[in-house]
Amino acid sequence: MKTTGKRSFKNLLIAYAVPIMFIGLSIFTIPLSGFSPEYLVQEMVIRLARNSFLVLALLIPIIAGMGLNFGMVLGAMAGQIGLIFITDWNIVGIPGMALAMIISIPISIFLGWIAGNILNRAKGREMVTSYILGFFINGIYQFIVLYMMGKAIPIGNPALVLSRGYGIRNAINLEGIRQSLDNLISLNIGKVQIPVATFILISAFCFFIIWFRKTKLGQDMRAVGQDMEVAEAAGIPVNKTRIISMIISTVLAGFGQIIFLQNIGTLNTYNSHDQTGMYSIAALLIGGATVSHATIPNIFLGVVLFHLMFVTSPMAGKNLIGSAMLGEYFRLFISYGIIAISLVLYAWRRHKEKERARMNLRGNS
Amino acid sequence: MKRKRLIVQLILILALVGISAVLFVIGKGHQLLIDNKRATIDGVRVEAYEWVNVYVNGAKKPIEIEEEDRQLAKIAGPWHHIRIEILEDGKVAKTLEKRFTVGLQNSFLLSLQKMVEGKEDWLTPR
Repeated sequence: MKTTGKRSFKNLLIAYAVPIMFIGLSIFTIPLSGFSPEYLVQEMVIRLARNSFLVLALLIPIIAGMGLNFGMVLGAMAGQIGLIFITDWNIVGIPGMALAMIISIPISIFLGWIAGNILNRAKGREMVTSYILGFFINGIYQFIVLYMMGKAIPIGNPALVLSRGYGIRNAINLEGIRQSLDNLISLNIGKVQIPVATFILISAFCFFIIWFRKTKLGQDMRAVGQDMEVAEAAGIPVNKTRIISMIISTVLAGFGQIIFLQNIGTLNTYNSHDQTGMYSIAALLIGGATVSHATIPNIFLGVVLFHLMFVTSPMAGKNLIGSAMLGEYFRLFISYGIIAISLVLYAWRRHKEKERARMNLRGNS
Repeated sequence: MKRKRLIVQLILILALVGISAVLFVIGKGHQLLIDNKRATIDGVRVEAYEWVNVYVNGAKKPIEIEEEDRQLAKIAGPWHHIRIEILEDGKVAKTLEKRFTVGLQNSFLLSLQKMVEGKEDWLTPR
């Protein structure tokens, strides 16, 4: 009995190793940073509103057994194209945001379809394939935005076009839609401002995922995620289901990027999407998710812990060593390192599970 | 079955196109240049007002326009409301309210003098 309790505690520790590690780190960095609790709460609320939708977009491919969708940058690029167009047409406010989302839908569907088809040819290696696919599509995105916009694709607003007459400028001011969703319904609790409308949208997305899991398609995805061969034998169109999951994830990533950028208020045409996948995946993993299992609480816990580290580490580095740069390096190191640690832990855990299953098969406890 | 699905998909696409068109119209941003400059209306010279407070779409804070000045207001969508207060010696001498509709052009010029005189061309695309 005692041994079982000890083992379950050990299993719990292994399962939540990453969040526990981050909570431990935060305990050190929060007092070192010297930030007030009010400031930190406000920052966390803003960052939850800004990033949660993007991280939620990662859930569906995980359900379908496709791992962490590094290809979500494809959706982010589609969202950005939508934003470039609405800025050119000067469509502002919530209608502007909604129109950018609608513009991003067909682009995201097409890119998601491409990604799904490619990943079906790289089963078992989805994550690295989608990561490289992101680089490939980034090249096409840059070609379109840098060479075709203003030439083949008409862009009327001179503020958007480079001085040579074609290509989009490095930075686009999104003042027309800046925080339009965040300020739509705003609530103040003490000194903390809460963007209620953004949270309503995020909650709606959470309910959508809960509902989606119960649908026929959601069940098919779970079956495909658990065992592709069994799912195929049960008559589930495995490849089609995987493609649909990629399409949904890409479309949602596009929406997520638009929500993210309306909060920031500036679009870095050639860089904004670069880190989207990496930071969202790091946040999800920090929340205790794995390559094969992720829940909604993982997302919120992960976003809070990751961004707590993001906010506090430069200041903690400055106060501790006298250099804010160290904190900057630290947070980059953390985001890449945590993905590596999580993947290693996942592989190790799977190895242990297999070992345990083998032992059980032998009748050895 | 396939045909039914195709029809549903077509309806969905058309609905999205329709919604996009509506969003385009109601979200279109415009620049409204408000002029408080002397103007000649039907051969009669109308002087600029000393000071005008302009409230666009129920804004709490007015746009304050001095004599011979021009100010910019940013508006979105086709339907708008404007209220002006003409001030003389620091007191409101005249108040005027109007509703107006704008097209899809980016910029419009609003002449306060023509508006007060009741001319039809008080708001012109620029």
